[in-house]
Amino acid sequence: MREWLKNEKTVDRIAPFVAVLFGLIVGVFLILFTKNSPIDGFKYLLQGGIGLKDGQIDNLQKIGKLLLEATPLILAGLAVGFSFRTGIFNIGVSGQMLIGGLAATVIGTQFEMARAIQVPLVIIAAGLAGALWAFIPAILKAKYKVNEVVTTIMMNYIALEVVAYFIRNIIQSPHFDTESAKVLPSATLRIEWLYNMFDRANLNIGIFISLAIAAIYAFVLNKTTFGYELKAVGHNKDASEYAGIKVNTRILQALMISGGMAGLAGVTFYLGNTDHIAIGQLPSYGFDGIVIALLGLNSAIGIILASLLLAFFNVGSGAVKANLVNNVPNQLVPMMIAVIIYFSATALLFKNFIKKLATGKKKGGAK
Amino acid sequence: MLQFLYEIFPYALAFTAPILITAIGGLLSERSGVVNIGLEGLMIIGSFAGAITLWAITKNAQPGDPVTIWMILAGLLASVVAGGLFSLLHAYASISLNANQIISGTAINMLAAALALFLSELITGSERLAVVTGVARVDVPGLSKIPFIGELFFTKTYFTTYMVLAIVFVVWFVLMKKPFGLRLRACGEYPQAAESMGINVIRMRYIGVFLSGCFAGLGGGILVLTYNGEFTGAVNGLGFLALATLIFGQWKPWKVVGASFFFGFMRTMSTMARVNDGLKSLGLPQELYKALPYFLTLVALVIFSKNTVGPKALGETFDSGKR
Repeated sequence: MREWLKNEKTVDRIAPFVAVLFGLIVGVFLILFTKNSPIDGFKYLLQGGIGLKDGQIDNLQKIGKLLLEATPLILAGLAVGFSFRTGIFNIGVSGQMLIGGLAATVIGTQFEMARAIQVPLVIIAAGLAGALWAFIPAILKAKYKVNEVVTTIMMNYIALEVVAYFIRNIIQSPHFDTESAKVLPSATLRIEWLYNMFDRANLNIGIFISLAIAAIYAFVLNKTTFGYELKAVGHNKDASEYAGIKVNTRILQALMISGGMAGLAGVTFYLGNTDHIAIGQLPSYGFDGIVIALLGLNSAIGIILASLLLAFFNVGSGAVKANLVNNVPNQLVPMMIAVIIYFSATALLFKNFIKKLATGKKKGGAK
Repeated sequence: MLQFLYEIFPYALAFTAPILITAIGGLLSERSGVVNIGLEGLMIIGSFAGAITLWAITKNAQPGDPVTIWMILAGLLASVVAGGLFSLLHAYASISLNANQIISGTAINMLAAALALFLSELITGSERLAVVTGVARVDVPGLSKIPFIGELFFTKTYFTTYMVLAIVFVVWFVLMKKPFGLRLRACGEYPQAAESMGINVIRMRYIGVFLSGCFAGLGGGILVLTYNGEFTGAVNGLGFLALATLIFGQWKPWKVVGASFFFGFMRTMSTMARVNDGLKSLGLPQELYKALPYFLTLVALVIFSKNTVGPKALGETFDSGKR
């Protein structure tokens, strides 16, 4: 039995690597397909992703950009992972990110305060706004048993329109119709010493927020009764109910906390990475978050590692396109990421297959 | 008021067609028991296939050479085939491999957008692809002369709109009146019972998903060859709007027709809110019209929640041994 448990864990951990491997293989084929050398491709990926050139890293700018890109990815991945742990599927991280970013942008463009007040304020506002945006699908799920997948998708598109309304009517940029005004210096998450340290990369306080949230995530899920109850609900709702856990309340809380983390992703992106919010752009981080949670097996460490990997691909792709002899379409990396998520989805088969081999043919009876 | 309707109707019909056909595709997939949130991606693939086919056909044409109806039909056919083939990825993952249907659908959306843009840049050197001449807007001879009705439904229309309505009629007839349709629906309600009656559930679900891909592909093709006129690698959430339509229409063909027309009408209002005098005087923000369909879908979900209206086995992987 112990042998078998060990085996299952191993299988679980191998699956994400298999998915990434498939992604890389597809990447190699795509590069070959454009009549380039894959070895050069990966050399430039390393050069663009971490600044590795001729075997050494001479400046930290690329690392800074990598961490900058990883910041919202980590938070989005944690948001999705947290909902997965409770057995719910928050596909609305993009919308919650937008609303969090919007709340922070409104405060960050319309009011000027002391920096020591305004920065914490925008961060808290973003987290609360994201959580409130998730409250609607959460209450529908907890009270009316409405499937959260559909409702969170709908909320994404409502969020887009809310943002459009605010930009057109309240926070519009004086120069561009479809953008908000630039965030005031007193509200930006960018800080000078990080900016200088990483050679003008816009790396900001967000990275510390994301790592702190990851630590809290791990602590709550692994060391507290609350976290234990959430996981119990995720495993088996009926049994949890029977054991006296308030299932509906836990679902409501989990989805709102997930939305809060998504909102934080929004503030790190719109007030750190960029300095404005725009009409009609659903951030792709919400969907990348699904890939990340799957690859990271919903654990904090796994999510951080998966975020770094995706950030590495995203940041490095520019150098691949710029340096290869023949033109490589922009979508090389998105293709690889999409292939990775497809194989993460189907990795269950691979796992089930091994499980079946190990236990002999046996399937659960009635639910 | 009448003048306002005359102005807005042709646009509303044009907006409705791609939403409707995609939603009907989604209906076939979901009635067979498979959730398809990949509709957005399938539309993107369809729009790319349609645009690139027309591009390839007309590439060497001299200025002044006409774009014939056959060329346009070839483009639409390519959309259908491409959407159908691409949907098999979703079918394979979610039916044969028992993968989570939501994750598989998300993968389809991401893969479709990336692949379409990748191929577009590889083949034409650009991620945008303009369709120089698409489907022409025509007044239907004879019918457009009927007072009121003619003005509303047969003026400045695309033939694709009627094509879509004809397909919907056929789908309704086969799904609701023919044994095949009953079998397909049985797979979405109680697949174990269906199987016990000798129905091949796996095959039926493959057919459902494949048809959803064909129709969503067609929706993308119609979109790019009619009012959109350009492939940009995105369909701006129309696939998700089709999903909302399907739910708002309670998974029933004629209700979906009504819902999609209503949602198409809202989209038209949103684009016209700033230019039409009548709408300007209402003073409602354009975003409201656009957000309303999604909001109403949420409300509808709450109202339906008392008694399940969707297919009962929707989203469950088929386990033949489950009771």
